[in-house]
Amino acid sequence: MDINTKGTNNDIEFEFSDEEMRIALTSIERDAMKKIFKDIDKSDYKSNVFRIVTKFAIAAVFTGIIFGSAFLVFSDRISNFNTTISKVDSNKNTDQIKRRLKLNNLQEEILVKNDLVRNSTSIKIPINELGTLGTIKDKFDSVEVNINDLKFELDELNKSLDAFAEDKEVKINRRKENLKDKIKILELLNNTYTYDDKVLILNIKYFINLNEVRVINGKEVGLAKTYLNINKQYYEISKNIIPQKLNLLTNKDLINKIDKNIIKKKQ
Amino acid sequence: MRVVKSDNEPIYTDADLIRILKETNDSIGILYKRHKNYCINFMKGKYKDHEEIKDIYHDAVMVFYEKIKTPGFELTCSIQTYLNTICRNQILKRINHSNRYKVSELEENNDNLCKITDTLEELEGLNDERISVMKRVLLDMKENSSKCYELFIRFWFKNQAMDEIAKAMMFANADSAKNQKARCQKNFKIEVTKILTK
Repeated sequence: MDINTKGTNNDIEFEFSDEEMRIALTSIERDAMKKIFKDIDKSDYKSNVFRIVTKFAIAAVFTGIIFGSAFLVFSDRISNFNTTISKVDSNKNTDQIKRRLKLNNLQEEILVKNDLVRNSTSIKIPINELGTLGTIKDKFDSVEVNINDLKFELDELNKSLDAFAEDKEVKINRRKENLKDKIKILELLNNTYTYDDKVLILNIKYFINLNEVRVINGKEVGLAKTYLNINKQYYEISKNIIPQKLNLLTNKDLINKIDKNIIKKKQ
Repeated sequence: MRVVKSDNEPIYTDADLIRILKETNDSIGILYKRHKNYCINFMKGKYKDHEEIKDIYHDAVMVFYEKIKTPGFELTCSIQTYLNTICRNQILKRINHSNRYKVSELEENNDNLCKITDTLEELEGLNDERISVMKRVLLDMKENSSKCYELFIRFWFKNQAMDEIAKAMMFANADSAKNQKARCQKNFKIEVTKILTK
């Protein structure tokens, strides 16, 4: 059989045997079927990939919604829980600190800090009224603080605490040095608070805890709030930041509620 | 007859599907999709070369398709069982040419097989009626000076390589020639089916 090299077919004839025709035509038919099968496999693969990707995307969205909701609902509870633990520890460890530490050293620490920060008086906090560690009460009538540069003072405070923390670790069986311990020590030893632009060092034993019920996503959630009394004024403690922040209460209803709570406990 | 449902396909019994395939020469895709997963899973347990499994399934479907076109053919088991058996026969053929696998592994659990020995290689191919129609269509292509005709002759009858064909027929490259061949085959099949279903 001749095939024209230019690609025209006018001189091509059927010169094949029946068997050759059968084999060739069968091959053509089978090849065409194989192409159909491969196209089906390809489209199946694409739709499977699309189905898997879609499922993952939906799962990721649901997971994000669930975790996001859980975080919103429980974030307040977690921070309250941690603060409650540190407060419980502070009550337990106060006596331990008295026994194990040389309080003269502690006094010197406070003295040094006060020298650094003492400026004009703004809030006078009689330590006697608040309950003290005893030794400090003997030495100081009040701790007065008026800080211009909060960061500078906190840095100074942290340096002193770090030094003290190191000392404490040597004395108290080498506890792990990590941020959590430093924050605990900060709260524990110094009870540092901020109010407006002032840093307060308060040795407070008595806190007022009230449960406020809020409705979040249709469910009642109890939020514990903590208050303290300074010079016959109530301050709410914001525990989500370090140092803790004091917010003066002006809501009369809430003040009355707290008063009633204190009276009830004393009874 | 066993009823098998695919995800987005209408439900056909085996008898329905055979009738459709015989009468319309169409719906080979339905047959293919309907039984694919089961056969593939069936073979995965028996044949370690997973690359070849799809090819074996292709061959099995073609065997079934050509058999039901054969006059006098009667299916004595379900389509699924028949396809499983063909797949097994194809695997056996491959294993006999290779020393890598053991035949005994295939002989276990033959509950879902029927007693046939058909393989693609043993089939005579298309029936006379179909061959005759295909010749007619090929002749029409020749008389119309179709490029497809020359392509078919060069590839299927003269067994020329795609590179050679691309050069002779002035395609850009072998892939272009291959794509054109696929299009020609598709149109060829459509023409043959039209005539057979008249």
